[in-house]
Amino acid sequence: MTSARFAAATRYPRFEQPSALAFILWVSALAFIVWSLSTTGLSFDRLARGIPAMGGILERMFPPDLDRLDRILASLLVTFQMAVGGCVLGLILSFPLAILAADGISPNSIVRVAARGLIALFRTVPDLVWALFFVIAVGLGPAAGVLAIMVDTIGYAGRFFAEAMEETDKGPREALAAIGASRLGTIMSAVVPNAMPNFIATSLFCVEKATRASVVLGLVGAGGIGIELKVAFDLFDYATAATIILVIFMLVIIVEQVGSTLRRQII
Amino acid sequence: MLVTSPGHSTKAHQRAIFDRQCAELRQRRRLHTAFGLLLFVALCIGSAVIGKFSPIALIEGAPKLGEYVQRTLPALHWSSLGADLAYWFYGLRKWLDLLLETVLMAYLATLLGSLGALLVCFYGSRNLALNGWSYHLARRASEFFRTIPDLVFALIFVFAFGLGPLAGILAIALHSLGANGKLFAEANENIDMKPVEGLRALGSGWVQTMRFGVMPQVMPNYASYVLWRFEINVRTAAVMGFVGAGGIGMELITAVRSLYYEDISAILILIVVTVGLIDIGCERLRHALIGRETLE
Amino acid sequence: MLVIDGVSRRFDTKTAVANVSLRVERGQFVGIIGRSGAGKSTLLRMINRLVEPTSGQIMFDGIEVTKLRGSDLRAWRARSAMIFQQFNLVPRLDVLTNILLGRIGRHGTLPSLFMRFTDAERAMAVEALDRLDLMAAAFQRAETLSGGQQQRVAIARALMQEPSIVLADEPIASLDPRNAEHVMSSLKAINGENGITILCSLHTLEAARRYCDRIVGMANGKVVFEGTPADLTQAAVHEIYQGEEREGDVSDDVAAPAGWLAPRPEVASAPA
Repeated sequence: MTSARFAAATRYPRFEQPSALAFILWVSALAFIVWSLSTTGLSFDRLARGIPAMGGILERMFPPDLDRLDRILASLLVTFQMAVGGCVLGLILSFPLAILAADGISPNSIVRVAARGLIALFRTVPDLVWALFFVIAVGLGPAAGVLAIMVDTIGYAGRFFAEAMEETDKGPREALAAIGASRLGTIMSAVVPNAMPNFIATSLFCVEKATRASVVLGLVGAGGIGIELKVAFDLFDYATAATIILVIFMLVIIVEQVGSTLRRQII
Repeated sequence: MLVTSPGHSTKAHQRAIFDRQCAELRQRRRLHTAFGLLLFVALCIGSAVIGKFSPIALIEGAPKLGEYVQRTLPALHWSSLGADLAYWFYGLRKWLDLLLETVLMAYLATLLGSLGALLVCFYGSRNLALNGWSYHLARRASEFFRTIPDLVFALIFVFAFGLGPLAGILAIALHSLGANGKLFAEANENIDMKPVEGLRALGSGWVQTMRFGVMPQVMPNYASYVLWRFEINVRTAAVMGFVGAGGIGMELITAVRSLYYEDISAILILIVVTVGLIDIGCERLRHALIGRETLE
Repeated sequence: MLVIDGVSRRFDTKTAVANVSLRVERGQFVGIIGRSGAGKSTLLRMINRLVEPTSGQIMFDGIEVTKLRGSDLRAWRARSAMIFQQFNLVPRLDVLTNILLGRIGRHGTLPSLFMRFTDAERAMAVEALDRLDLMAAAFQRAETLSGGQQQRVAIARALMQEPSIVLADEPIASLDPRNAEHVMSSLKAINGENGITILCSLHTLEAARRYCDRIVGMANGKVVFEGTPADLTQAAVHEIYQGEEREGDVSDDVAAPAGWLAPRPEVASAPA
């Protein structure tokens, strides 16, 4: 009896060795990875050759050079202001855009598709590319950075705000519409209060994201501490570069912590 | 001592309390709004001043930007559309190669970074960590790699490993390790501990418990995070070339600096299409993964 | 043989288990009864060290369980199977895998990660499936099964461990009467046919009387009764449950099951 049951059970796939299909899949995945490695020129050889150089750089980074600390901190402040400015502007603009892009709240589908498309465009293009463009428009300096972050924020917040608004309970909206409230009135009274916690969480996250983005915008001349970092590396001044990296680290960490604390308090 | 005359006077008493609370609430609201508004205006002005941002500069710059955009657009005629398009995308072969390199960079980096995150995340989960020391180490390491922008890592790695995708892949991989390390750990902290207890009780070791007790529960979350990270990494890989770390970024910045206007739009279109397609694909996959969970 | 010697467990100010001493011979089916909070669960968990005793020692077949560490502790846990009130299976894995997991205590880390089980172990698993009437559900995800079925999977998993002792912590508290009966008879069968010692905490007297060779009554962390089901007089019950009006189900979690597990008036007032 038992051996018959055993024989029956062994017919099930789990009991056999991995099937041919699984084997093929694994081999193809592995082959793909190897191909990727070769196409991108990643090889143990290059890696091994770079490690001593890496060690040398790390060695020269410590101790961090604190000579120009005041200038670095001033630059950091500009960077953060750039982030906040861009983020705030972006959030303000995301709000009406999100209303237009939200399914069920937008006046008509052409507007909705257009708004969605715009938000998607803002999100798809990498933020450094935006920075590059704005440098051309308004010249070198933090102004370009503010605009780049603004666009980046709209791309992110616009979508999340729209989704948050779409996900609110339909009930209150219908009730207000039945009473005869205007579209805008409905939105402000029924949709916005319900989605508020979501809005706040997204906004706080946008500030964190903006801070992270702002520190590298300087690399293309859009203001902020990025340019200091590039200059330091170009001059092989690794010790100063280490200082800059450390202050960047501190800034982002602080912003993150404040953000998560605020999120816990408010929500 | 409460004046106990039920009905009339208690009602008046209650009404008085209500009115008072109403007034207090309104007062507090007004204060909050005023404060919030003040803070907001201060921030705006502060940012504008320090960022040397003036609406005037923006308005002045807008036509310049418009002019620039116009120059990047190619001259397309219906009659010679094929030839015009071919001329516009003359570098298509080279660019497609670089795009492929970009996507592969992102793929490898996401893979490496997520594997690393997998190793680290269990130590960084409060409910699974072996001891306080390893928990803090894991968390701080994740934080470090996550906080420093990948481009900064790329800068360093270009100096160490030379120009090319290697530096970019390593940089993005480290950053992804940090980012996913935190996300994975948070997913771990939200699991049902009962299977874990069951496995511990039958003599399962720590690694085995993670594999059989934790991972089945969090796999969909992990997969979703990995896909999300891949979407982000493709964008980052596209701009890695700005610092010489591989991908199509180098071409783009060359085009901008050398004023090859039409190349700019061509490359941008390629980037937008690629990123867009990958975004859509990943969104579908992620919804399939998470959607299945909530349905069951 | 299991020897529990002066074992206590304190949580800050509360004493969950106070100076308990107990001997359990091989092959016995011992039931532990008492109110919720009496320390039954804590006592069981100290035997396989899921909870650490604050004082006292536990010996099994001459091995000092309380001093085991590392791989020795793992080996002990592999030998002492535990059945939980909430089953504690891995919900997203299928029944067969859940059962096979009973063997990983005996394997090294790497082989078990890749699910490398021997043919003999797979045969054991099939036998366990058969014995507990789970063949039909073998490849379903564990979470899709009913409570009773899941507990049977847990028992099958315990069987795979080839245990010297089974610790069952309120195994039927979450089950309806029919499934509870099925589970208890499975445990009784394991005890009878395989001669495995079973230590089972229960919240109904009826189940205790019906299945156990020996009954241990706990109140406020202390053992207040030890004896056969026949010794369980009205007075003894009263002392264990300390004035609870109903003698049947005194657990806070589960509502009193109707049917065969509810106390029958004549049993409650039967003389010693």
